[in-house]
Amino acid sequence: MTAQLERPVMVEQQPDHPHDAQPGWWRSWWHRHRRTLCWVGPLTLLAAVLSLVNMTGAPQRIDDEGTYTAQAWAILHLHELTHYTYWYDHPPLGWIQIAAWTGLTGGFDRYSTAVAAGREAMVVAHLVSVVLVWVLARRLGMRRPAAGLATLIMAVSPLSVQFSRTVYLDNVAVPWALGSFVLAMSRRNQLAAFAGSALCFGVAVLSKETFALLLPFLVWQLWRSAHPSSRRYTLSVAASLFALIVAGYVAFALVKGEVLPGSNRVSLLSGVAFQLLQRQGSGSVFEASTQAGRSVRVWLTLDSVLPWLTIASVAIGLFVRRLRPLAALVGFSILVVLKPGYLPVPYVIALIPFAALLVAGVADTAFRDRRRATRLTAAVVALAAAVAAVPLWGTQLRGLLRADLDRPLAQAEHYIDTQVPHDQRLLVDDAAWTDLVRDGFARTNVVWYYKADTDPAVERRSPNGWKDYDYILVTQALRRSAGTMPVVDTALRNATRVAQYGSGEQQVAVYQVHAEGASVASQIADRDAAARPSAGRALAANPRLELSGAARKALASGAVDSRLITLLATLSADHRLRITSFPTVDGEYGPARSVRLTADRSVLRAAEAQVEPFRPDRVVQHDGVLTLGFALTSAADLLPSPTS
Amino acid sequence: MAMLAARPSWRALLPVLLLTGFLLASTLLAAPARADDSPSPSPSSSPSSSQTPADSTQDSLLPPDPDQQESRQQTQVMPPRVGQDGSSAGTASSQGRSPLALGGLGLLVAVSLALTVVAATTLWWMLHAWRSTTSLQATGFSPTPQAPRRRFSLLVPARHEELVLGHTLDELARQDHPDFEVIVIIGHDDPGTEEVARAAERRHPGLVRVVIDHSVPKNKPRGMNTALAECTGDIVGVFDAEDEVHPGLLRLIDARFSDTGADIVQGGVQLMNVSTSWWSLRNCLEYYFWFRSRLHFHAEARFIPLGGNTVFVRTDLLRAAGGWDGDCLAEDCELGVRLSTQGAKVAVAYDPAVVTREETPGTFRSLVKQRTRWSQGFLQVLRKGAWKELPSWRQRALARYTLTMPFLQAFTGLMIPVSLFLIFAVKVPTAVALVTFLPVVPTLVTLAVEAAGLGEFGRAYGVRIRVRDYVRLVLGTFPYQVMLAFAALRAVWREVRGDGSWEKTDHVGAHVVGADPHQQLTTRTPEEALR
Repeated sequence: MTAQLERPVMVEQQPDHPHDAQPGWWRSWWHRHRRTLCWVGPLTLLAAVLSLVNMTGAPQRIDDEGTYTAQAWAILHLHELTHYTYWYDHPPLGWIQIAAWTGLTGGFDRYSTAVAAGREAMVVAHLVSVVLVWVLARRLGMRRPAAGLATLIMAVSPLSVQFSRTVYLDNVAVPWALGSFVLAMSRRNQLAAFAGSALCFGVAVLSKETFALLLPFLVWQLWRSAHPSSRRYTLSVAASLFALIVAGYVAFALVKGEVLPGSNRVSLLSGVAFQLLQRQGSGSVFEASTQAGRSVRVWLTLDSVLPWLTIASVAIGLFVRRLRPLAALVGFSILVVLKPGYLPVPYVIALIPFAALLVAGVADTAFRDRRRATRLTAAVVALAAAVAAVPLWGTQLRGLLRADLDRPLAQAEHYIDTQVPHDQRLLVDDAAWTDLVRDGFARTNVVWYYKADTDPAVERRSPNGWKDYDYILVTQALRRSAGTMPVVDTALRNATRVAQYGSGEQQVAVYQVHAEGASVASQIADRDAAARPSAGRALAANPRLELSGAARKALASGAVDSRLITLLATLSADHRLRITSFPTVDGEYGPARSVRLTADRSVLRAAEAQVEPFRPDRVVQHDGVLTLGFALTSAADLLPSPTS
Repeated sequence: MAMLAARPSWRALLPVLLLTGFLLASTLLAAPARADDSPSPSPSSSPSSSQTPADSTQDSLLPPDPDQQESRQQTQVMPPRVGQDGSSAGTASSQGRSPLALGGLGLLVAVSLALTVVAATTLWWMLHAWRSTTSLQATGFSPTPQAPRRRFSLLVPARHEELVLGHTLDELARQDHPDFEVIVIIGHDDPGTEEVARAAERRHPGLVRVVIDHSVPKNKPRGMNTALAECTGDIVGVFDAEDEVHPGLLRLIDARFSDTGADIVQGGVQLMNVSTSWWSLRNCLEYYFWFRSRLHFHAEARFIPLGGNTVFVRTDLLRAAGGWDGDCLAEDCELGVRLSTQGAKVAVAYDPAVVTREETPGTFRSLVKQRTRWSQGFLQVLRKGAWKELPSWRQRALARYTLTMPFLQAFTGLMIPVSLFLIFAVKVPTAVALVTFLPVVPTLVTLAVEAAGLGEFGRAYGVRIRVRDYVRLVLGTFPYQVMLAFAALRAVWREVRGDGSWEKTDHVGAHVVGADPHQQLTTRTPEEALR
């Protein structure tokens, strides 16, 4: 009916986005951003080089890194959130992201240690942060050189380089926090930007809960940037979204029925209470002996320029309108360091990018000042800082780029993998947990120190307490917490050192636990040690043995295992043996457990025909050289006492 | 017509299917999951649910397994099964679930995600005007005055409106625009109203005219079609008999036509009585967000369900399109869709100062009937299928989505308590449980936005908003959703039974003003506006 009617002409319509259809939009993009790229590109590359070179060598691998890496590994390989009972110590989003990166890139297969894969994820997060520092600097109204300075500090400061390599959840949270500030400073499309800001900040807080300290400053920034006409909506969307994201964590606990503490379960509330109330204070930062004092000293050793510049910049930045929230944020964070109570070691990580931004922002403001005197002062301060920074940073960076502080732990891991039978139960630093499980030790037989005393499931698997462990990997973390973990401490008191690598803080040792008790074990060991030289000399006197000088010396000095002495004595009854050496394992204490000799196949058969404990665990014949070896074990009274 | 009505529209039933799917999923889950509890490492492992010590790390009260106590040798050679150890940690393993339960889980996740998308898009469109400062500025009238260039014909359909019509016509006659006429449409069987209209005609000679509509049965679109032939203006505008219209509105509308080159301009309509009842608050806010924000999105997306009044259309365009659809329950929405298919450009303009003011339906009953009619009207437009001729697939997708929205949105609200129940009553893997929480996120953000909007509404219109209004807003959320869902279901039911036409409604009680807007030709209720 209507179709036949004449249709009036519609108004001509303009195409909505005329430039969208143009080819080569990227060319115009490049044209607009090439100056930025000329700054950001090299700086990011520099950051990448400084982060990646010797990434695994320094700083030293620590237990926290092992924990987060193991949890990420547990997500991928055990399909669980943690390798032990998750007890709400931290929200899980941080290591979920580490798992996502390592899972997507096959990280755990590309590195010999699991923590190295975790460190790679940290470097990726760091590089994102470096770029975001640039973006945020520009949003704060800094000119390109100043933005470049902020980015440079973030990329080069040894404090930043060292901590950004370490597998800390803070490193995962940093790019999210920076992103939330970048979005909070959007001028256009504020609704979506603020929602994004809230989302990013929610992710940051669920990655590392301490980032909640930044919330007041983010709110301040949002309030400042919000356009009054739409502020109601932009802020209520942001606020509700953030609240809901955090509530998601509570919902997670709720779904698992673990919100309120129960007599026999972990709970969100007790996890939070632990972090807020029960953590032991770290002491005063002004005392060198406290943990807080140690942390701060480490920060100041790594970078003795940035902290002082930062403190000065806070004082100035509070008077610069555009820098005020940033200066307040940094100032507040510094005050938190000074307050008594628990100071997490990685606390400084959140501070670095904002400090870099503040220093650069203050410099930018000073150099823009109309007064000549101000500009001159700024130039002098900048020059002095640069003169101080170059040698100080250079020294620290050289260490970070060249030192191999991971070698002792890697060697100890290798020792355990090759020398300790894989059915033994180990007490280890969490830094080595994943590696040893991947080496083939059963997951339940590799126990992180901390869990031996705190996890009921672990305690249930070790009904005899410390006696149910065979070896202990002793690292700096264990030495430092000595006296706080009864099971581990008792085990260590009843253990003897079998191997040791490195020295000082890097020293790593492997101890063997003697279930029969330290005194009994040491008596046996003493008797064995006393019997070995005389038995060795007696064996060396055997004319059917042809010994190299070194081998003769080893026998005479008691440096040969008593099982080996007995075996050689037995074999020499029927065979002529030419002994070249008694090889030892690198780093191992105690007598040599293997022998290298030239002999025919009959010797091999004779050796294999022995009975326990004299039957060698390792028999290898190669090019006419026969190697016989015994496994690591406790000493036993196998040799006659020299006095009897 | 009868055949058309008898055939149920499967698209309209989609939400019902969704709901059924959801409930089915939950029942499927309930049984096997419970049976599952003890043997498998349950995701939310309560201490008593685990039988084997190796399966629970939380369960310190259980005595140690005797096998383990016996000798440490055995501890050392624990079976590889210990790989399962400590598996209370959240990522729920689905092993041990039957395919049926897995399917149920999949369905639960899919429905939750769909509901999240529905709620999130609704929220985003609701916030369209505030997404940036430029877009907010674009929603208003031009700040620079322009010379009037068009002649307006204002249609005022009135049926049994003798109480308010005189005042409304006097107000309309006071428009400061130099060139317009007011055409009052009166049914031939309504002498009372006609008398009021004739009086106004005498008071405003040359400005107000009365047109008598002889069509049977009577309804608003038919009346307006009768008057369309009599219009002398370039632009046809529609107002309801009880509308409070700002005297400067026409000049601004004229300028909006000039500014935008639009074929249709939709002005703002606002319900004002926030504090009359618990639902009037929500009803007012719905209008606020719809005209303040959402309609601008539809105008930009070039698919718009127009409002029932304060709408202005080029007369030639309207005539060429054959006027309004006299059989549709949502004739204003239908016209908007039809003109959109022909590429008509729609501009929306909102300014609290010149908005057309109305009141909510008088009773909860009439609100439900109004909503039923809108939902059914949307269904009719959906089934009529004019939207299929929209030029781009995006417009078509938006049309389909928008027209189904009353149903989808209603069920989003209803699903949330169902999700909550499922999470706590039925043991599902933690990850799945968290996904079923997802629709809550946009829903609660919407509530926060509504609270913000209520505050702004109070400021814009000088209405005092008290704490108890915010409390009512929050507490009213769920009951209002239930009402919407009920109206949507009722609409589907009526449409399936073919019980949806204007013709079927008798004029019983039509003389009672506002008693039943559904049964009136032209109503004193403002529901026509919000389509």
